[in-house]
Amino acid sequence: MEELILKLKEQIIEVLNLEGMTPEDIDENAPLFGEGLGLDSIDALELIVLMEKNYGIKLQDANQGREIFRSVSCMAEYISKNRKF
Amino acid sequence: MILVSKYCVMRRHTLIEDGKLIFESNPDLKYSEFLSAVYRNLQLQYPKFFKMDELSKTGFLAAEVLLSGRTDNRNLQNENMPVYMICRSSSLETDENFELTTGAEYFPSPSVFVYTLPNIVLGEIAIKNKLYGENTCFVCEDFANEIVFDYICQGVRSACPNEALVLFIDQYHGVGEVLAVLISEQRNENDGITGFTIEHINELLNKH
Amino acid sequence: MSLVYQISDNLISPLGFTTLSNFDAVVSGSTGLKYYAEGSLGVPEAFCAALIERLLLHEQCHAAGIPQDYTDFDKLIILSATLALRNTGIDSSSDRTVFILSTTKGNISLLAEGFTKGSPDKRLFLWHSAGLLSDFFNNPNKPMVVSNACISGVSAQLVARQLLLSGRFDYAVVVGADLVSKFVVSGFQSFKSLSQQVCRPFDAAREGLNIGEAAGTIVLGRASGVDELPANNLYIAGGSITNDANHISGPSRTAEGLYRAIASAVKTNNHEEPGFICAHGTATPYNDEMEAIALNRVHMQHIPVFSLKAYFGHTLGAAGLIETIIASQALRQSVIPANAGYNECGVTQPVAVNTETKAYACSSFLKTVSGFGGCNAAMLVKKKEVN
Repeated sequence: MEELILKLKEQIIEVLNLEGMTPEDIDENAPLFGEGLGLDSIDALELIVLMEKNYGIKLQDANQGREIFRSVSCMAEYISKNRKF
Repeated sequence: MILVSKYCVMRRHTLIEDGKLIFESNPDLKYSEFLSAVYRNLQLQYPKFFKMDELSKTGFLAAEVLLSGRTDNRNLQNENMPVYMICRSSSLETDENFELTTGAEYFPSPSVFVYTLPNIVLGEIAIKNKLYGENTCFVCEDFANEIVFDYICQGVRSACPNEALVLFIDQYHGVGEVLAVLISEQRNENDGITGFTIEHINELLNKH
Repeated sequence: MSLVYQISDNLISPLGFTTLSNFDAVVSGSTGLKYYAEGSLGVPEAFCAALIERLLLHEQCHAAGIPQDYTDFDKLIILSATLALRNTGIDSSSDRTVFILSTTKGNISLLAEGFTKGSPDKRLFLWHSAGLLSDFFNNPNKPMVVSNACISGVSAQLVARQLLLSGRFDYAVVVGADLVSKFVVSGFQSFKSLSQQVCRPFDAAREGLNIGEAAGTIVLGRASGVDELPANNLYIAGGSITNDANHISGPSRTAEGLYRAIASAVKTNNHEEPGFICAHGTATPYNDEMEAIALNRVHMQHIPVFSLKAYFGHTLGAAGLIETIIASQALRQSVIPANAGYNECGVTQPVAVNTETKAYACSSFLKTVSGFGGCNAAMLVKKKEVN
């Protein structure tokens, strides 16, 4: 799981253009939206693309993403249970 | 008469404000790296910058040079100031980048798609500077379009206060340039740097 | 006081090639929207869209003498302008006539045929299309394109209005168009903002928009006053373009930009209320909610409102024009179209959604539009009353 969390942090930094951030800067239990990284609606949609492109998980809409994207840990847990590759 | 009261030119790895060189980078830098270098030089704290495409970064930085310090200053802030832009290539490079996300590996990117409209530049400037007024994007073969100039001048005359921000901007594959001008209606020609005419705008561009 | 009025118009959509055929279709409740299965246009996911029959388009263009090797987009805008200018007696080759093109993506579908980075097909440049348009009519003025996302069609009319009022031109031919393409459908799908059914503006069950293609042309002229206009003639009484200054894709939760645009548009008309409102009403959860908030902020929640998106889909750069054209026809004929697809209020603030097409006499309407980049526009169109 730790390996997945690290990889996920790297992928998030890349697809969301979080300039100057390293995986160490991201607390995997901190909220991704609202406080924490302060991501917005377009970021949420990009995370949906990330889930499908990198893990084969297809989410229908941003609402479904709300629970899954609560934190990096939440995402990693969901991915490890549902990943297609 | 409509005069240019302040201007900023960003092209060929230099950033100029009112005729003075305020930043110059190594000419070997890629355009994207040059944009980041300008961002750091201006000491901006605006992470959203890194989500923008190169066209928006170009316009955003030029507007920043002209407008910084105004938003939070009640005496200077003009929330209804019209902002206009004239560009040639629209968002073509970003269009190509988006097209590439819909190829055989089909994963269309929303963060790229949102920038496939040139007027997003104006949106980014409006957000940062809290500008609620007119924002109009013209796409022309070259900046020397008298009809657009005419329209902008009329816009300034009917704005209150009589002031506007205009961007002459283009960006496509590693080549970007922008001339941003703050223009206003003045009685005396000495109250501005130069007149807002096609001739003078070309002079400012060619000078730098 | 000088004003700018509508001389003629044209609308091309899957519902027809003239304004009247489109208007009749709307009144009879027809839709140009169809379901397209997975794989259509190269898009893996199914979608609902309104596409113009290409064979009919090519036939009409051939009859109008439009070069056959022009792209569908370039043919469409020239055809629409041709049909609008017919019988107006306007000299389209005069320097006192200006052509203004409103579009978001022009010939973007050319990218799907393959491209070389750094060596663009010149037909991808929007001003190139505007050039073909004005050249077809031998017009000497430099072509002008307004590209302001989904508000382009109204923006272009307001730009034209200003240029006419200043006396620089006597006539403006404002043409707007956008086509459905894999590019655009994919983009909106990535935003999860499309519905696979016919859209339902303002409805509780709405789940997104549909993309449509269309072209609209409005020919505008200038008169020295209302008295100079023939009865039943329509003129632009006010208009405003604003920005939310909030987010590049999501509309302001307080509808700041649209509220300001509407307030400003009606200010010049002594704050007189419009007879009806032709809303943007894209049927996304956020847009319709934002519009309801804006209408309540200007105390217009009781004024009959409708969206035309369930008939045409969202036609992007054409939307502001074709919807003005239909609303104008409704104003002339003293009719108000139904907001198709509406059953139950799905916005948190009350709005008077008009649910059936019926007789309705009034003297003005408000057109509202909103778009990516946080832009908004509102335009008031008035009818010269018969005394």
